[in-house]
Amino acid sequence: MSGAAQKETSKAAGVDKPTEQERAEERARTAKLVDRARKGDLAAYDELIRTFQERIYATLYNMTSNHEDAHDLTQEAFIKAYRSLDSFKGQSSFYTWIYRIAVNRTINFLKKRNRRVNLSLNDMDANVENNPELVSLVSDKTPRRDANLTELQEKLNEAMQRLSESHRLVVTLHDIQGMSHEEIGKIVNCNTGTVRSRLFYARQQLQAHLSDYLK
Amino acid sequence: MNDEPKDQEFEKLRQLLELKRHEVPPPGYFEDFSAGVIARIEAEDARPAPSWWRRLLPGIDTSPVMLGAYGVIVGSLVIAGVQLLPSGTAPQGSEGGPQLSATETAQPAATPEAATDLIPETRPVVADLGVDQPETAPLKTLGNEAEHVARSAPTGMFDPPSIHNTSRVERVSFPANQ
Repeated sequence: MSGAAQKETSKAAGVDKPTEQERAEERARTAKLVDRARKGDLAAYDELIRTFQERIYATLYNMTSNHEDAHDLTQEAFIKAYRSLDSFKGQSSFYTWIYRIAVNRTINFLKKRNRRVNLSLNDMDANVENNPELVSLVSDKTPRRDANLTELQEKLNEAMQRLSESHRLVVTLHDIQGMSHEEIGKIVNCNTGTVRSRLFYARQQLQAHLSDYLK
Repeated sequence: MNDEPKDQEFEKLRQLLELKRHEVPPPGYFEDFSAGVIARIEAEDARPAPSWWRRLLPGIDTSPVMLGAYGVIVGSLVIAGVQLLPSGTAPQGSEGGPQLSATETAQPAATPEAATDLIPETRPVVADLGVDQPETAPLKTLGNEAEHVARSAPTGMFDPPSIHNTSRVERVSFPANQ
């Protein structure tokens, strides 16, 4: 996959890896917006939402495998964050802080949801047909020759939902969102060793659940 | 910690998980998303603030148990207040106004003899003070009341203990005020 295509794919999934300078600029811009939002400037908060909405939504969607739940939880996370802006001291980045709010609310939600999982999956974007790795994985390398993308999507989501919330979160943030172990550790509030071990265990579980598609 | 071998071990899985990145909400979904959040924030702000008693009793709407508990507490307070009220309105060592005099004379008037015994005790006191007031009217009233009580109820049946106590204190302290 070319760099441009990869960046396009990443953007579509809410995954973008900016340079250090871009990060510094974003931090400064975010800090200004947070200050304005704290004073009740909803236009500033609107900008903050637009900055983070895709990444937060994507995480919550992959945690719940349900568009409606992800929609509600993302909205609630942004509302909760707005009400709690005074408690944001800037010790972590706003990005990490709002991620924590969103993730904690989602984990609480999933615990209440019990084991009843109602999948409500989003459609694949058009780029998936242009991803040669995925196309070959589906059509050539799996023993299930008749497997199509939709079926694979369902199996993948079912396998994800079999993981515990903490393991699903780590796989989502690392393998789907593309976050580093350090970033995940800050969000989940644990050290990178724990993140790595959870990731390893979660991958093992997924591999067992999806063995038919990975031979 | 080197993740290379582990990452290779899970390479196929990683490729499969890439599929999840292509699951996206309907086109235009994110264009309206922030507007929805802002609208909800504004709607919450526009909602009138809850009254003080609602803030004080947050669970009263949702929890019947809380409602019952509040009922019991309020009921207990009312009962306790009613029981404490008589002793609170008859302070010890007071000057003994007309109301207390009535209580004092009514209580021992459980028998007609007792009621008449009281009259000479109070009459000289008023006379000594030189108060120019009708002496017979209140005494007559008290006497009638005592007779009525004596006829209708046995001794001390409706008299709470506090009234007895108040009467005794008043009787002892009354001469000291002379």
